[in-house]
Amino acid sequence: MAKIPVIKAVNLTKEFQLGAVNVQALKGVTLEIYSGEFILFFGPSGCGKSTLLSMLAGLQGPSTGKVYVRGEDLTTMDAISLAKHRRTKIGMVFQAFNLITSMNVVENIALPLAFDRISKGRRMARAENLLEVVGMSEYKKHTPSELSGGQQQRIAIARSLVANPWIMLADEPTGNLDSKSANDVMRLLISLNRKSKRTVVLITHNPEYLDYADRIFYMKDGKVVDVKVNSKVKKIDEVTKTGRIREDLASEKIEDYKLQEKIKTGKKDKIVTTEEIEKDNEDLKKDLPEEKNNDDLELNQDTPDIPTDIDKVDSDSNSEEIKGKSKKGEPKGSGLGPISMG
Amino acid sequence: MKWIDIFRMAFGNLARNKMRTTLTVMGVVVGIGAIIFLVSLGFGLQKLLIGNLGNMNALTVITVRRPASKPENILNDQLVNKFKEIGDVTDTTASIDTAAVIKYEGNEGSSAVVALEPKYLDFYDILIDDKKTFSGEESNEVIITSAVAKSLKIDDPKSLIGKKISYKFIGKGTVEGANNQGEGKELTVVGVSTDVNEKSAKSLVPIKLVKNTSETEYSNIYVKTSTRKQVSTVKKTIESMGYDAKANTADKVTQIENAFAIVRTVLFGFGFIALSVAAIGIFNTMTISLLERTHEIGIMKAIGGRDKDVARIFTAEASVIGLLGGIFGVGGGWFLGVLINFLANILATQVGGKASDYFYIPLSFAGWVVLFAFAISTLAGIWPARRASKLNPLEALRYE
Repeated sequence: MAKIPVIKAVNLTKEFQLGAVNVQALKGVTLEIYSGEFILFFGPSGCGKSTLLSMLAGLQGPSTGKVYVRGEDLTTMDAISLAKHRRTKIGMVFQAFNLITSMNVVENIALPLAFDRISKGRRMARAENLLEVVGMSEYKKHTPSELSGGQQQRIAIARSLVANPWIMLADEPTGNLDSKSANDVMRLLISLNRKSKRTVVLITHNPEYLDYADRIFYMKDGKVVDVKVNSKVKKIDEVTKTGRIREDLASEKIEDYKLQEKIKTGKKDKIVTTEEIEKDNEDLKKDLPEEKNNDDLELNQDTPDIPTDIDKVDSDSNSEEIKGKSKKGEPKGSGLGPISMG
Repeated sequence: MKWIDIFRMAFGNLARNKMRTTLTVMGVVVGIGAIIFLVSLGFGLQKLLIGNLGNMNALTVITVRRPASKPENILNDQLVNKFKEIGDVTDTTASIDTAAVIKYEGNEGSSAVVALEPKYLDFYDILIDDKKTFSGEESNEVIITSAVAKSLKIDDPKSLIGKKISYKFIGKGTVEGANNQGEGKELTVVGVSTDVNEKSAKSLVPIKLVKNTSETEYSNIYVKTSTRKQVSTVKKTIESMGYDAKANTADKVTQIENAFAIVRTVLFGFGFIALSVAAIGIFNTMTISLLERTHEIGIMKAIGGRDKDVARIFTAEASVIGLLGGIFGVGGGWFLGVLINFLANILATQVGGKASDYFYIPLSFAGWVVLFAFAISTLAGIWPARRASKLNPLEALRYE
């Protein structure tokens, strides 16, 4: 893990006026998050964790203190730079999904690229690849209201990945979901961290997720009261030991069925390989406005890529290709299985 | 964000709320339609009036005379050649004013005579029933006004066509070689001027019947320019050479145009009131749209949309409303004009009048009006768009 923090908060405070009452949402938070870490902010409602996360996202500034993301001070950035930060440096996932209801699924995913003046053809191709990654290809023309919560959240994750950011910020992404959908979403987020080395910062109420994090920041009353380092992070391998076989068989059967359907209908079997997506990311970098890549070198080493279709990863977890992708850096997670709850 | 994407989004958002968009666009259509209808009536009446003044050729003709203060500045062929060399002058002609004692079947009368080159008829507002010109430069022919027939005690001037009238030229214009003695010259009537404004007895004859040397002094020289714009500069040039120059038709037309410009402005003002109401409608629609889409604005900003992008999407929506309203308004106003014109002409022809075009829209004016609608709508959208762009993303996200 990199020694230079990707995210650094120094003595953050936030005060605001709620009617006549002066509320102190944050009372001096200092923290450092390193590249490739899976971080949880854990605490009761109103402890300031959402406020803290929105500051890392550049959605609001602190009353005092500094926020550095990859060495850049967000508190001194102008509005345009902050918008660019949100657009390209971080991927944000919300509890309420926050998809634009008037747009269909691909348009939603592609929207951040539209802000970056990328042509419609490129945007749509990219969005469709990501749809495949989150396993939602067949829904590309649907509007968000036609999807279940879990599906919407997967679309939202695809959108957060569209500009290929290194840092994922998720504010209770499973809060509105049933346990099955929550599982899917968590699996996706964990795989983004394990497989493509993205730094993930997650807010949750659910103590079941604590075991998957590298570190947990316990928050209370606007302060980080405790930081727990998970000495034994639940790796996907371990997680999947229970009940894995059945799930795998099930998904293999589905894959088989899909394949047969494709053969029947004569459709070409479109499987996105990691190489393709990596190339896609390279192309995208060329399209995106020039960025000063003055980040620490260590960060550059673990170039993130887009995880492949989760179900596919599941059944192919032993393939050389996937292993090859995931062996760089820590922690080493190979495939990704279902997360067993409680 | 690219403009094409901005307009794509704007169109998408407008299409989402078809009813509201249609009603807002209708507001602009009514405003622009009113402007087009009223102003095209102004243009149409002006055109009708100017059309009655004479043919369009006369608009570019300058009449040159010897100035009373400088009797030595005579008009002759050398001067005509000099005028031909002035830039923008496309043609010249000349005439000699004189008079004649005329005789027809024992009746004697008198007539003013304008001896002219045949091309004069193309130059000027001379309307002739049957024939446009003389058969030759020296042909013994004449075009008369109704008053000439009257002086010969003939009631129907047209009955004289093809008949011969004896002309005995008198007066100063016929100095040399004119047939001013003895019997008159027999001239065949080839046409009757229908110019209703011409009440005097006037005969138009080929100039060679009166003039026979190059030294002959002309009464008038007529100078023609290719367009009306050049009339005033050519006129000034001729005046600076020491001659009287008048562009009567052009001046009259300018006066009429000035008067109608005022009329049009007033009519435009009425239309503008209607358009202002439409602009308030756009403003209202955009403000409601802003409230409805606060959450969406929050999302766009949270995922990296700049203030500028949000503002542009909103402004573009207002602009599109204006553009649609402008185009349909011009179409609607034009159609209403055509309809009213059609009905008016049915009425007019039934009472024995002449069918005319009372409405006229210059294409450039229509273009400007569409642009105007676009501009007004964009202006009406700017404030809501600015407000949308300045929303706090976190607050906007919480807004449901």
